[in-house]
Amino acid sequence: MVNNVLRWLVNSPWSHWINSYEWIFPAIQSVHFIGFAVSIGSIAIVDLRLLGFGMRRQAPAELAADLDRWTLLGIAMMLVTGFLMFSTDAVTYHNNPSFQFKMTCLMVALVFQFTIHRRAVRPGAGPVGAKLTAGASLLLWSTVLAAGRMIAFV
Amino acid sequence: MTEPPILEWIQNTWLSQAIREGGLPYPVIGGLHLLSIALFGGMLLFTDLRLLGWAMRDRKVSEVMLQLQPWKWLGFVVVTVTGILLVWSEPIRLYHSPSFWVKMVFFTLVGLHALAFRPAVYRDPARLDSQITGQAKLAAALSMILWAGLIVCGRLIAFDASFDQ
Amino acid sequence: MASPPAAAHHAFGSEFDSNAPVLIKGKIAKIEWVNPHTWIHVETTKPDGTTEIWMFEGGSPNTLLRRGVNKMTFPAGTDVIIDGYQARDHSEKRANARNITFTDGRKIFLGSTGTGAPDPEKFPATAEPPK
Repeated sequence: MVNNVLRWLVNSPWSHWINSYEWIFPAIQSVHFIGFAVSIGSIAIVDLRLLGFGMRRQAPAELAADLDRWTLLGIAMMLVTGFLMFSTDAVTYHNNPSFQFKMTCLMVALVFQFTIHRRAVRPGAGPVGAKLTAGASLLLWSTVLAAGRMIAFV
Repeated sequence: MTEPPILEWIQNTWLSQAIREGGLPYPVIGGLHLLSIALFGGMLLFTDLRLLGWAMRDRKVSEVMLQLQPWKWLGFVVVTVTGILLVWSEPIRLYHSPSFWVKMVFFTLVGLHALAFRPAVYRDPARLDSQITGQAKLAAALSMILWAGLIVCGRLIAFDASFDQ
Repeated sequence: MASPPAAAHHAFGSEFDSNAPVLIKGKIAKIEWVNPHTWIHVETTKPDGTTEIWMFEGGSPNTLLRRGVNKMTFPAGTDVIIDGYQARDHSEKRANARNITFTDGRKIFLGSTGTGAPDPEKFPATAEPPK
């Protein structure tokens, strides 16, 4: 059943489009990399603040309010480019252990971002919890990225 | 096409071989290279977006520019050191890679950009708090283009089918 | 059985042609155990008696190490059969490796997943030795 969905993705119109011209996949992958800076970059600014570094004159809540839309934009960029790249070779990516690990970490990171992390940036959030949240957030997103790098090396 | 002899010398060093032939060092160094783009590239990006008036508009320009400064420098150091290690591991292949040379042009332009805009923009960020000048916006726009160019060219290196043997 | 996906993604598709399978019988000339891809050079004797060398691109050292092989698994002079997908420029004696088989029967998948190369289990090549 899963394999049927995967095969359908490989034969989807967008997969055929990407597979038709050599430059499209690297272009999409480049946007994926630029998306790192938008998504993880904006999250890192807030996490740094929670740890007591960086933009110290603002409260975490203020920074988060500023950057929230960019984080969402960044995550959207990653999910769209990621999905497109995944489609082009869905069966092999699906079977790649590093890819599987990356997807697991990504799901944890996303849930974490929109639950615990949201609470930690609010005014009145406990400082210890805030620091632990920031550390966990940085670790989770770094792991997602590292697992992505390892896809071609396992 | 013969390469400058120094490249062969580099390729024969222990460090070059260790990264080139090892299991994990190469992807780990590459991963750190990308991680620094993710963690610190965003800070550069948001500084540029602030100068363009597109992000963090309630924060003072000078605060965005200055408070993230040490982290941006750390990111620059990590990305450059890991980049040098990657080049050190396969200098001959990269010598033959057109994308690598275009990337080096962009890298040079980044340096020239910093020098060129220092007097008007980067030396005294507080001046921009009252009014973001046209020069500052130009600096920000060019900065984003240059960094995007670095990322795209870096990615294209893997797609240059260049073979030396 | 579906045909291999049109290969134009990632490094595989920009260099290699999934519609051009090749199979080479010969002796290992050398192995380049390097990142990001290992390269196995195989010398084969053509029907007219002359020899030529083919280069086959394999997965990274880490990829192959995880499959239980290392640099020493490929000594020069060893008889092997190796198959893969030829470079897009069909005049080049270069291919993306799939499997290598030794005379003792050991068969090792040399490719990588996640690079766009056709899934080896799903798309067996019906390769002819090159002319």
